[in-house]
Amino acid sequence: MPLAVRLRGQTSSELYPRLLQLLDRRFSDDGRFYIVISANNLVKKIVGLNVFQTSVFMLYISMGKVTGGTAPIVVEGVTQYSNPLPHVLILTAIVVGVATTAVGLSLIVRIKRAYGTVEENEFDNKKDDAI
Amino acid sequence: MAEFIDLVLLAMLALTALWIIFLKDLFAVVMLFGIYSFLSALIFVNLDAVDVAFTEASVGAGISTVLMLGTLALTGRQEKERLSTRSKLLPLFVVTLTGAALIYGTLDMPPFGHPDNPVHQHVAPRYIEESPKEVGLPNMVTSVLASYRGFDTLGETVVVFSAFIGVFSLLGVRRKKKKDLESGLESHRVLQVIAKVIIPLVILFALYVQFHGDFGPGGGFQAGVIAAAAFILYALVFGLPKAFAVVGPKFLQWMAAFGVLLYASVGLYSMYKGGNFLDYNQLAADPIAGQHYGIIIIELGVGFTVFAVMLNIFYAFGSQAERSNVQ
Repeated sequence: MPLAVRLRGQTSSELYPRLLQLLDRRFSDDGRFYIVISANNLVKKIVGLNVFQTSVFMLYISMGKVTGGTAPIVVEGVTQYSNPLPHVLILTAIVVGVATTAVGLSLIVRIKRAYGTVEENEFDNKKDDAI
Repeated sequence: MAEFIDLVLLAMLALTALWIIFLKDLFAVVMLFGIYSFLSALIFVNLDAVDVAFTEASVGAGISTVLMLGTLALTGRQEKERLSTRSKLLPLFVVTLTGAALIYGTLDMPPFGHPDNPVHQHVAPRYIEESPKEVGLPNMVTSVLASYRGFDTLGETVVVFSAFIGVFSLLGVRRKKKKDLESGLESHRVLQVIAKVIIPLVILFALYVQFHGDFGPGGGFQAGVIAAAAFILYALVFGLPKAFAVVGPKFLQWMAAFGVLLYASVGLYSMYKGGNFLDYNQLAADPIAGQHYGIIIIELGVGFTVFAVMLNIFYAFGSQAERSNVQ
């Protein structure tokens, strides 16, 4: 209901970016999360986590965008730049993300070695004496 | 036009993510994740975040995908069909609820791309207006990353380094004992010839990204990953033993630590010169020249650490895979 009210109050030229933003945010955080919760295979969970993470990055970057602005690298005759701060935060977050992904994946390798499986529902009847 | 491109890319993203949910073949899932990363890198370009796009393409689509494939080689490529022990409806319900809450939250967000948004009011104008004068670099992202928020970046380099310690304590790199072990793609002559041509170019490009990062998109993070990719290609095509002979894991351990120390020592040196930690203005008589020296050195430190960590993590996964092939 509030969505319809908000959208109706705007002219069509405003509506388009607003829709885009909604789509952007919607795809950002919803849905991907599903893989993390529902996947049974641990590798697939990590993939889901990464997809989820990338979507959050997109949310941040979309906030830094200025309409009519350009990439934050100084060029003669350009006065309007997009906000460089979210870019910096997300750039380092991506690298830290791959580092933590690597730790997660190596944990999965150890789990496979100890339990012989990476399927979540198969752990129950395994003993952890193989480590 | 830009909005139209965005919409198309977002639609493709959504499709890719849906496929990731439904596919059972994990090899395809990982490849789709690479595609997803590339698509999001394109969206980042469209949103003016060229540095981020660069990083996402090299790190997300490149290294992450390689590491996931390395894990699949050890854990098997097929996701098993789940027995109906638990309902799939509960996660769906939770996620729908979360999604609805998030969409409700976005309704109160300021309009997309408006220059008067709160996010553009605080420190951003100062970075945009003053950094070309204060730091003297055209690329504001590098200025903020390496100079204004240099302490933050030091922390992130340390996180990368500690992830490397984590992977190492979990897996470790095993040096090969048997020399005659089948490794690499010895029989693929075409791949070998092509790789030999490509690898020097990739390394050259990594050096360009490292040293041109002050003026255009790029910097230590991206350069480190690209250089690591060149060596990973070498290891994949010619086998791990030959790659170990070029750059060994032991050397990379020292290199990773050296990068962090190089970064931190710049900070200590600026304190010794009478400034604050990582205050590059103290490094030379002219503050701008000092900033240049500082940024070049710390970007080198970041490049060393990221290169060594990424390559060594790949070695760790790769040597596991070869070990399990032998057994």
